[in-house]
Amino acid sequence: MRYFVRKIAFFLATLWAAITLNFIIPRLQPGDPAEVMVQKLAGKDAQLNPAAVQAMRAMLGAPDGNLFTQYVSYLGALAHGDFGISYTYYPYPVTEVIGQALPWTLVLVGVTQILAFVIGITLGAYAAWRRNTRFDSIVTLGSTFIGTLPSFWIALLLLFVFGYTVGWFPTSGGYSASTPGFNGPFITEAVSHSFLPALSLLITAPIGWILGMRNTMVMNLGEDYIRLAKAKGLPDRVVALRYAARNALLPSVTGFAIALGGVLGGSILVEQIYDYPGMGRLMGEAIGNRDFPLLQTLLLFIIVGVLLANLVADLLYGVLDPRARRAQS
Amino acid sequence: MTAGIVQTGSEERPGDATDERGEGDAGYSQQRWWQLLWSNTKARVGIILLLAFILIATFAPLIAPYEGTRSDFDALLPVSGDHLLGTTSQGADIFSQLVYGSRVSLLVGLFGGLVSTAIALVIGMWSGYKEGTVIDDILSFITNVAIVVPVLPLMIVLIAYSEVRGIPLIVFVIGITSWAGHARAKRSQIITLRNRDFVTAAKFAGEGSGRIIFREIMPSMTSLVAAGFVGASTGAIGAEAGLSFLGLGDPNSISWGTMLYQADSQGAVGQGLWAWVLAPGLILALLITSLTFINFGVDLLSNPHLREDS
Amino acid sequence: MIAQLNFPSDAPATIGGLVDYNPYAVNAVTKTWLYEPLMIRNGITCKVTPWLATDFTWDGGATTLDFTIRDGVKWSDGQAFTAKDVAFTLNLAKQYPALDRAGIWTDVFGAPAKSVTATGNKVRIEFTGNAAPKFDELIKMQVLPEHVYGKVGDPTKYIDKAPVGTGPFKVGSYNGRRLELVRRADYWQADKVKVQKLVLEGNFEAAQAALKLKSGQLDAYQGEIPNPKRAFIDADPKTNHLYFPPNGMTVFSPNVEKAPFDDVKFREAIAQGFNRQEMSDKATYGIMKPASQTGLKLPAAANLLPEQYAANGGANTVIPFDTAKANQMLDAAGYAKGADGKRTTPDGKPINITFTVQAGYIDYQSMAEVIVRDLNAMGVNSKVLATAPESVDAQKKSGDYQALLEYLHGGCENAKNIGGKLASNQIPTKTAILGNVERFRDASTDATVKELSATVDEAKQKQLVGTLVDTMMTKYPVIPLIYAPARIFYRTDKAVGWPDEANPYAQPADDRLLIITNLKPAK
Repeated sequence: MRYFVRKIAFFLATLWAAITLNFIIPRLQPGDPAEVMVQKLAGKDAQLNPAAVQAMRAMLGAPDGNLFTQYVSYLGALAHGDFGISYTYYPYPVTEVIGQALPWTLVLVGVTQILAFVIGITLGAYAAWRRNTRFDSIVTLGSTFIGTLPSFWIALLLLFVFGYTVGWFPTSGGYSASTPGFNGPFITEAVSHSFLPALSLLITAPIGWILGMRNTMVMNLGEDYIRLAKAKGLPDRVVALRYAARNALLPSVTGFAIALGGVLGGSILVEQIYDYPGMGRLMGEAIGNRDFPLLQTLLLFIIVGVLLANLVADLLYGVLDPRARRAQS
Repeated sequence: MTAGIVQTGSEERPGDATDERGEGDAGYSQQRWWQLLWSNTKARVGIILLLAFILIATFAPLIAPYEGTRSDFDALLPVSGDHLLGTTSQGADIFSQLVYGSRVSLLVGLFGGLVSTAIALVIGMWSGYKEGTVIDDILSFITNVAIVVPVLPLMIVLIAYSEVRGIPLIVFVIGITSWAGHARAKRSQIITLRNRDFVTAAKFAGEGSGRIIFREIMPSMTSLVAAGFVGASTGAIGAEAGLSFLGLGDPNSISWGTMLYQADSQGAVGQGLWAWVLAPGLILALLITSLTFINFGVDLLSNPHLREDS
Repeated sequence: MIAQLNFPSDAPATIGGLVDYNPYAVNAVTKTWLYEPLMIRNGITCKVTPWLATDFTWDGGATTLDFTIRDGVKWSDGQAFTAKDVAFTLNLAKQYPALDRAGIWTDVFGAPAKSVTATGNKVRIEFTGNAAPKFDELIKMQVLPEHVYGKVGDPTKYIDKAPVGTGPFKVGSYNGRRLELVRRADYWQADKVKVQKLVLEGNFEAAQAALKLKSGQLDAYQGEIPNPKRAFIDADPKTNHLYFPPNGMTVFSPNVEKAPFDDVKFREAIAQGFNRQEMSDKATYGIMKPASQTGLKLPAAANLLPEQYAANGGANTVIPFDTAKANQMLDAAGYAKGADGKRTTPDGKPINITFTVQAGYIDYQSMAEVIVRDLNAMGVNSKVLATAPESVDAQKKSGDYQALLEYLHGGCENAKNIGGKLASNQIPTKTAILGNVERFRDASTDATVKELSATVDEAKQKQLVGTLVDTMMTKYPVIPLIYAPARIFYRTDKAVGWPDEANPYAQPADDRLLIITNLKPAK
């Protein structure tokens, strides 16, 4: 029990740290979003209309009070689910804006993460079992090299080849003519628009699992119980799956959340390239427009998402592996 | 995410068994660990490649036909003897940009790696040495928070709010965001070393904690610190490329990430200007490969299980 | 009839599903086709086209402005549009300053208004003083229906999901990304609208826009495309066109408070040594021509040239590239070359210029490269510092810079354009960027600008603009380099009648309502 309490306490404390961080960062270097917005709307070669800037300032408002009262009212607003109003999508609240983008990223990152996990674990385990064979060295060397390719660069290449050159997939957006909802045309469009972004992430995402799984399993294969199992004459497949792989799998579960942070980061860059309507593109937009309420809330949502995934993985790990509970309490 | 982050990320995965390494390894790695490193083929290839990059960066003015920031050629010239990879739509020589770009990557790799390793060492070792105390609780908490917080979004937000962009900012931001994994590894290593005789002896001799940690314990972990540094550098190089690709890089110098950013924003992909898109990514991958290979060697040093294996 | 035209989305950002047709919202789904302005002034020719207002008159001192409001206009819900709607909208801007984009009720450019009243088909705006410079922005105010917006409270916080406008189109469908607008048969000038359906979809970056244009998936695009000839025109020169009339110019903006730029002779000398044609080639692929030192966009504004500069339509006011002459003038002004070939100030101090440019503004960066090379060729030791646009903005506010690139708008109110660049009350403050970034101060120029902004008499305007032009030509407060365009790329396979050099009836980027009422089906 103590294990679970500890994990939940850590989750809450981290949540508080993330929220506070999110409060502090924007206050280190405040800029004037009104001017940026008006300039952006007018375009680069355009005269800044001072009246419009003044109107924009009146619209966006400015925080008042000292830091502490700001912090208290910030926490109070968060408690009520009030994350502020987006500058870019004014007068929509940021939560509604993010609500539009969240499903896209959730599906993109979720699907790639799970596929990456399955592919990575399988390849890693097999490579470890067949270690020092040609398969092993192809997988290890290959993934080492592919792992060095920046995912945004892979995205550019895929866009070039499959988007522009052969033209099999759309080059931008999440859908085009259909109406979002649970209907055939929309789902077809969404899938074909998401294919290249997902592939871009999926090429590098399994690498961490492959190498991690292989290493753990190689280590496990050297353990006495495996030798014992082999000595007992159990079939190879049983030894590999029942004993070595299963034991090597457990630690990989806790790496899930950290890897998720990585895939999320990758999706920010990839979404930019494909103009995919998710959180990453929204983040790029928020940076460009100095849409601080949106940027801040996006960071918070991303952190909380990863924290939650982390918590679930930890709790799951605790349930699956009683040793962990005992060891840490 | 960039490839580099995968590498650093994989290091704190339990599968890597960071906790198992360290014990019994310290004395061995103290002697001639670099010889052992050189004897490993992958590591040797990595070192040679890295040396080549360092030479290119150092002698960039001699190697590159033109200055990297020069952009007074005709736009979009094809590949030719004058322009080995052609020119960009702003009339910059792509080959020269590539050569000069190695400087930014290596600088960021070096200093980003140093800052991040330094923070990781101080926090990880202090926390491990004070295991079980309040100091350890606080430092471990900070470390664990920093591990779960996704790095790239945090870096993006930090840089987005800064008014002055440049390499120092990138190094700073990378340093303070990507130390946590190594700090945790260092902490568990030092816990295994803490009760060794030579530490106890130093304690009895009345030496201060700081001195014991950094003078007595740290030297016995050279290969582990080196591994941390190589990993951190790899991560820093990848992170710089990613940030520059988002247009958050140093505006006064040319880096591979910046090249890709310009290629993307100038529509090089749509126009089929493949050399402009292909070259920076490949060369970046090559540099990261060389570091990864070196890290392989370093991993072998610190993880006897793998060594037996190879 | 043209069955359908495709344009990119009007909204700067499109996260699907967030519908808002409120024309005063930052991210309105469309700001152009539903709500209409009072009048449209073509920024290139300065001709005013009556729209919801048919006529305007200023009183002598430009303190009272009367609009005659068009009869027979119907809102898209069938109700009649009246002068009351106009007065309602302008008064709303008083109650909610966030709506006051034109600064009607503030003292930005001219005196604030004190009342707006509607009587019959007239709307009268009374100002507390001379308000002539407010005109251009005022006529752009989009009129809101009182019977809808009168009931919604703060209009800037109102999410308009069922738009009721006077415009040529009404919403057909919107799926969060693709907006289909359908022609209104009861539009007040429906006979001029030949486009049955307008589809607005997608925010494209340059390369994608070029591809969509080439393939006919877009019929017009008003953004930037690098190397437009190669990327678009050459694919099909018969169908693919662009129209890039000068809308202003990019100027070399030194900080005239700092040496050596505080010396007129120095500024005059370096103005001779800039290779403007190369800048044009590098930054605009040769499309935008070198700009006139007068600060007027030629040839559109040639009629404003004072006599001494009017020869050849002002062609002589474009300073030719002549490094030798620049060197000669610098020598004569006492900026001697040292042994290293670098010049020093007359009192012997070394000159080191850091030229600031916005990183990511690719055309600016290309120009900066040329500028610095030219300066070094003149013996003026210089280097480029490319930095984030926000920090360039900060430098403009603080004055902590040596030289940078600025935009000099070539619109119709020269008191704001050239005047805004030269008047000392337009020097940026700590909190706001204003026009006079170079920090030029001259009492007689201030007086001229003040007089110009107050006058509505054209002959008087021309005379006063002439004085400002003369200041540009003799004092070199800023150095014009190349013109900056208002852009449109368009295809003529479905629709013809787009604006071009021969028929510049609209400022192509802004006056979209003018364009749509001029398009005709292609044969």
